[in-house]
Amino acid sequence: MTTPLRDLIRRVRECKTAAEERAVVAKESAHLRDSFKKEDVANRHRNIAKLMYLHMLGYPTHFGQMECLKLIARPSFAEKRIGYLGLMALLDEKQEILMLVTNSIQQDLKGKNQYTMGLALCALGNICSAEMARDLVVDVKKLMKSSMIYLKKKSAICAVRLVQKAPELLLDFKDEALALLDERSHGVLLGAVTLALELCKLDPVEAVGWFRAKVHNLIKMLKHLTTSGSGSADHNVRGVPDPFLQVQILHLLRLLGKGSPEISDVMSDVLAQVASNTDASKNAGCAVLYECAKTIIEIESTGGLKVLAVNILGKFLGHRDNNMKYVALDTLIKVVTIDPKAVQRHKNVIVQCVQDADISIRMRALELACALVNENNVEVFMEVLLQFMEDSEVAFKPKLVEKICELVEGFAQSPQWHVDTMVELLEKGGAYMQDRSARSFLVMISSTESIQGYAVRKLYRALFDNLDQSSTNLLTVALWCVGEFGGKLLSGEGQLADEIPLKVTESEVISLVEQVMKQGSQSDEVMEYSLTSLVKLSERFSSNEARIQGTISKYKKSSLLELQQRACEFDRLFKHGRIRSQLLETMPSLLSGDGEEASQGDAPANPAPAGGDLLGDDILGLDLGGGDAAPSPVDALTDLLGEAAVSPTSAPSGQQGGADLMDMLGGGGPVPAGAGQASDPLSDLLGGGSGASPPPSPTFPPAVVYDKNGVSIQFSFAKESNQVIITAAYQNSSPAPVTDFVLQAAVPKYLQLKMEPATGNQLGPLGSGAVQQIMRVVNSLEGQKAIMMRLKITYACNGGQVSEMVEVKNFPQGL
Amino acid sequence: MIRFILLQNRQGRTRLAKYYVPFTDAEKHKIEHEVHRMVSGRDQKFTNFVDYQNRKIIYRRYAGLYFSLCVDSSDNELVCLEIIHLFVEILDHYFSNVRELDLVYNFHKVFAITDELVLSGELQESSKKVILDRLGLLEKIE
Repeated sequence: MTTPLRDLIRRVRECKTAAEERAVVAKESAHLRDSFKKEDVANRHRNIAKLMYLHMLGYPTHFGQMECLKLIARPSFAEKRIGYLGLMALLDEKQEILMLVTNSIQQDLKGKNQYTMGLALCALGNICSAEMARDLVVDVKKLMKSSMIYLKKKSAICAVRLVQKAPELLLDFKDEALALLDERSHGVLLGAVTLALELCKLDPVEAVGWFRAKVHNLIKMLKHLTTSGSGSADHNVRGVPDPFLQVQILHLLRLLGKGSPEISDVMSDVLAQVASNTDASKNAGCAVLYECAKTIIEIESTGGLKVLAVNILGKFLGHRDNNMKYVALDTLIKVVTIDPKAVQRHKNVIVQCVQDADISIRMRALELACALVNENNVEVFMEVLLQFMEDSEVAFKPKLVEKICELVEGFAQSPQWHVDTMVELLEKGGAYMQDRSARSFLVMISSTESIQGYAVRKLYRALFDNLDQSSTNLLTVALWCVGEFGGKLLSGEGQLADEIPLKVTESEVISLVEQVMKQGSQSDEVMEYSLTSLVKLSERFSSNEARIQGTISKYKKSSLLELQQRACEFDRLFKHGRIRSQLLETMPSLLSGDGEEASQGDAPANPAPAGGDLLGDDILGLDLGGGDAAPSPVDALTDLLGEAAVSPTSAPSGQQGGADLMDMLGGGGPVPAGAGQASDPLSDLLGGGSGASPPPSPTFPPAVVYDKNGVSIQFSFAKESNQVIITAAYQNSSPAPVTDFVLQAAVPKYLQLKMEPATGNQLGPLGSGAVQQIMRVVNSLEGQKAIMMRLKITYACNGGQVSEMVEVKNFPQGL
Repeated sequence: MIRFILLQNRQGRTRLAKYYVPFTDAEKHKIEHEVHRMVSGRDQKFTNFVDYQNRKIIYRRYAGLYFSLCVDSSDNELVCLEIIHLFVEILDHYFSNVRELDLVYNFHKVFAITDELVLSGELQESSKKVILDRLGLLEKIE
């Protein structure tokens, strides 16, 4: 016996425990299955309604999906209606069963009853798949020309979904979309502008061109809306004429005006009018003003108009409603780049907002505040941020730490300030610091000799004070410095004027490192750093050599392979007194991991091992291919190759005895002379034809270096004296547009690379809107080494982010 | 673009969930749980916006019910608040002084109302009157 829907709802609501509810639902589900099996036509729509209810409660309902399809195929409107509702609630575009419904929807779209047509359009707009879009595009287009307002507006919005799913249909909608902009009804116009927006977003070149021809219509529409007294009262929201339509039009104007001074000029009057006449006392008015300000900022508007926009945002910033503050902060970030002074005026409010209780406000204020920092105010601002570091909640800390690191690197006034700030940050929020930031701090210490003594003493104190609650980052940075600069730690070398002298003994330092290792909870990484630190100290604190050897030996039985291997290798080192001192020398200045900046001049004579990623790989280069969590463009392998090329003659003498050891340690020591030339299989493998390059030929065949998901990158080459000019062409042959396309390139040290900005970062679908980027490469070892590159390609497509690394070695011979 | 609309009470019971992009049932469950936890934990003086998975939730509380929209990060937050308010006004008119129980027992009607307001994740009609008239018409022919 089928009970009414209300009955079911009531019974579920009466349940006191989850178990009771499950029992009721299980019984009802069984009943529904039974009824579906019996083809109970009379109760079908009631059963589907129940099914929707169970679905909302989170219970499985797949067994009823076919029933929805059957209901849709029924002639009566009431049945169709519940069938479509069920279809939209229970199914989505990913389910194959949806294919079966295409036919019914088409029947309904072609039908004579406007109500069922509306239902079909609604379903299509909400769950249409790419295939359905292609099958039904003709029918939807027909309805866009219907005489009925209701169908016109519904089909216009439905078309938005169709082009999203199948972007190749873009051109199909051109005429209809343009024609709809001539309509008068608000509903249809809203749909028409929404569709125009979508088309412009999908094809920022061509579609924008179509709609630029309609810019006068849009301006007239907006004028009409804003002139007081006009527009139907139905669409007013507390005195503001149709804010929804106004916002959509302003958004569309933004896309049309961007990049075109003429079009921007045409719309400047109406924008000024909206900006000065809209009532800012209500949220609806503010919504319009906010959109208007965004448009003014992004189009090629005049200075006067921009001032108007910045003033609107300034007022929002002082608003007592936090929502207004939020949107102002969010938009002012864009203003900073064009007019920092205008934003600087609001500095105090912005800094206050950084400490707001609401994380949404804080995130944006932080971003904006950091954009305002310069050499003069960085120290004051940093105090606020570091203070705030302690009070803020966990979710906010990673972002805050990242920003502080950026600021310190960009605006540090002195090395001492740099060290002080970073150590304080490591103490307060080291756990939230990215490996990349910790590493660049080490690079800074290692390359600034005058600060090394101060830094190692400061870090030693920090390690000592925070032994029980230290983060991995603080530990690794401190351990690395203690190992490298152990001598300076004790001798007080490079003491700064206001530094409190540190009094420690060798054995105290060793004890501290041992203490770190004894804490059971340390990560493998920390243990490895500790061990390396100790072996380095054994060289610096020669009177404690035996003690250190004893400690290291304990780990020869460690169950962690990496740790065990290090302990065994280090232990062996103690038997090779003569070479040990050279192996354990202080590391030469580390190089920044950024491939583009690493010019040849910076390459040290005695290259740093595994310079690519210190914290990811280990210090002595034992696991060359190791985990690289941080994106480091130069990996150890290319690095090795680069070093081999740069330094074959600079290898110090006296390492013959330990040649086998060096081999064992990989890139740990200097590369023996000769290894880089002929016998090194690695460089042969990677350098491709390094021995004998053929005479240069005038033209070079282009090469496709990447082709995936329809996105391809082609390199064409030209040569000018010693410079190779690579023209990279990016193309997208897939039906979906690609956005945020960024290509980064890294080269070994013997190459110098200059990249010009790309002509854009959007790749239109089906090969439209190709983008070019020019790179210039100088090969300092031309004739010995071929050009090679590592590319990092990131872009967004179909709502997903793609990030790929590609190695390019197939450059034409003779370049 | 609106990615989903959620209507939840203070205890986190979902009274309406309308998705315009596909999610699996498990993902939907997770979203509903997370959104409720986020919005219900916020102070009333806070903004009505929270970042969520590279997008934003625009929410507003009416009595014991939270109305939440998930929109793209570049969308106009203030106009989203107006969309929520329009939705609430329509519900209030339709059920004459709407209460949570109305939504529970008439959830299928709430779906139908949503479908007149939003389609493909875009606002379809901005006039309360047009929507209410249309709903009245549909009732009559059923």
